[in-house]
Amino acid sequence: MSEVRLEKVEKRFGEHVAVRDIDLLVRPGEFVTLLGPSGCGKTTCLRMIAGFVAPTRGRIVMGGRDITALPPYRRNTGMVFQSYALFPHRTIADNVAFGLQVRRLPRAECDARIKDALCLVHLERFADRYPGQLSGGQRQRVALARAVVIRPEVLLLDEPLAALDPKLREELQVEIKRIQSTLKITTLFVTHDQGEALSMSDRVAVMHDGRIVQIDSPEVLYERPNSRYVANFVGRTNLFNVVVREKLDGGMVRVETEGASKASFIAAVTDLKVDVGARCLLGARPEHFHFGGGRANTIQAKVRGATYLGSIRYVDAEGSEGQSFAVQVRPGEPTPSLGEVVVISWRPESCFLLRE
Amino acid sequence: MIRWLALRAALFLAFAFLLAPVCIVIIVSFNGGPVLSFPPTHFTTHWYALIKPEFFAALNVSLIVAGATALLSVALGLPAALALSRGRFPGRDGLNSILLSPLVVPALVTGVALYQFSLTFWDFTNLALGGTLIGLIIGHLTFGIPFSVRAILAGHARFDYALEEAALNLGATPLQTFWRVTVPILRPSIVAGGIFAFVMSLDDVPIALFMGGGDATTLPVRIFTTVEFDFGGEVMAIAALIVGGSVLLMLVLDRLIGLDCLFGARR
Repeated sequence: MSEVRLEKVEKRFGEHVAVRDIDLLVRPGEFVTLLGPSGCGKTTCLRMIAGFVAPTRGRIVMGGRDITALPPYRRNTGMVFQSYALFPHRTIADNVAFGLQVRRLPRAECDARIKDALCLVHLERFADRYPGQLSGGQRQRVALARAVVIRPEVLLLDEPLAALDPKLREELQVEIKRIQSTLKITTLFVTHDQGEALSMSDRVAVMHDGRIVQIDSPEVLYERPNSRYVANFVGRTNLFNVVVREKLDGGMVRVETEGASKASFIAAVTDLKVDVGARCLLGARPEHFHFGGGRANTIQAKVRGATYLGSIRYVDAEGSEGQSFAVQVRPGEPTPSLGEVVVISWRPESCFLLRE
Repeated sequence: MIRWLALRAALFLAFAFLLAPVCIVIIVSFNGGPVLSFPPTHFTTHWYALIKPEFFAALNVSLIVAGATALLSVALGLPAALALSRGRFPGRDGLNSILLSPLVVPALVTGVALYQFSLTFWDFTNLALGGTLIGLIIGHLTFGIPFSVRAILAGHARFDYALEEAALNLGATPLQTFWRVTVPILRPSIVAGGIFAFVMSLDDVPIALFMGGGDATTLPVRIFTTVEFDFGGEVMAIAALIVGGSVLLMLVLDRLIGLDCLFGARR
């Protein structure tokens, strides 16, 4: 268990800046995810820690040791690749053995550790097969075993589930999380899938354009996103342009929409410092909206459409000023019909204010 | 059904066309008559007993030259292919074309040029290349290296660099990564390049004609010069032995590595 720290790390490829001024601390045993769309610099960050890419500026510290200038083979990180990257000419056992063989470990210890690692991923029966004879999910579990068998200081996972189908992906999410918590290994996971990020991580760092926009626990990230970008990237969010009108007791503020209707809402303010007159975004998740009145914030809207996703149903509604937003229909609740005018209400605690 | 039969027939005819001359050579080599004739008049094996020792000496030369050509072609071709496919340096495309060019120039022209080169080399250093095994091997490398570079480049086109990164990540030094990952993964195309070079060397007449001679006379050249004076059963017997040897080699290679793998039909 080691901590990994990026200090003011920047990476340029010619004119293009892939990673800008990143500070990141992954604590010992922690599972941190870098979440972002392709091209946001998340994979570059991971590859800099593995040593395949040299940072243009900044330091990388692992377990108290500055590894910025070390070649990949002196770093003791365990990486899992999106393409599995299993050696096709070696059996499963030999793939797992590779890192131990180049470390010149005694034969008996090698064998014992290979057996443990294969048991950990439930593939002990496949030791003598070749990678070509295994399914995608099994191959990725071999890759995982090969990465952890060398007891790396940090486990680096580069979109390991992207090539798998959804069902298998869920299974492996659980599997990876189980292995990670069994071994208590410091882990950095890269993905563009917010579901993976939220379900597996201790903390998630949302990246945009080479920067970390927000790093928080999945709950905080979802319930208190700090920007329009995070609010939209992680889950669905309804946003209203509002102006702060009044500070109330108990950490609440009264805000007013900017349009002609001047609808007034009450929102809880946690960490954001806002002044009266400031323009903000009021955000609320579809599942925080309820049909019918009875909560402090209400709005009238016309039903424009409905989306059925199996376990979840959304109604797309349009407010009087043309704002469109989504409301989650609760189980057993009837879906309002198209064109119907409904009242929607929500509680002040379940919405958040964002700086524009 | 009819189309299927027609395809079958076409396939059969194509194979018959390719194999008929070879079969005739083998059959004629067992012909007991005083002159070459087909079909054979009566059966004998005495042509085989009559093969002169100089043919076996020539075969020995051929095998040594072909073996050395194959090994050196691969040893020089692998780094060249890696540099051409991975390197980023000025003149890379030009170098690529130059490495291919010996295959475009007729072997006879290369042979004349090599002969001229060996004379000039003699003038300057007093060292003989012509008529020596070294000279022959150098001559055969002019096409052996391009062949192995082509084969390795083709195999390298689908190389997954993540494999090397995985090896480095697991603690292998660049040298260990090269020997334990890069070379084994490229092995089918390395072997293919070596076999191409071997076979081309064994098959070559024009270059061996100019660079060989004396103790460095290869089997094809020996056969070629013999046929000029005496086209008889002895030559047929040698030809039949060569066919047999080739078939044996192919069977062994198929057993060891799989020929379809060698020629890129299967991964």
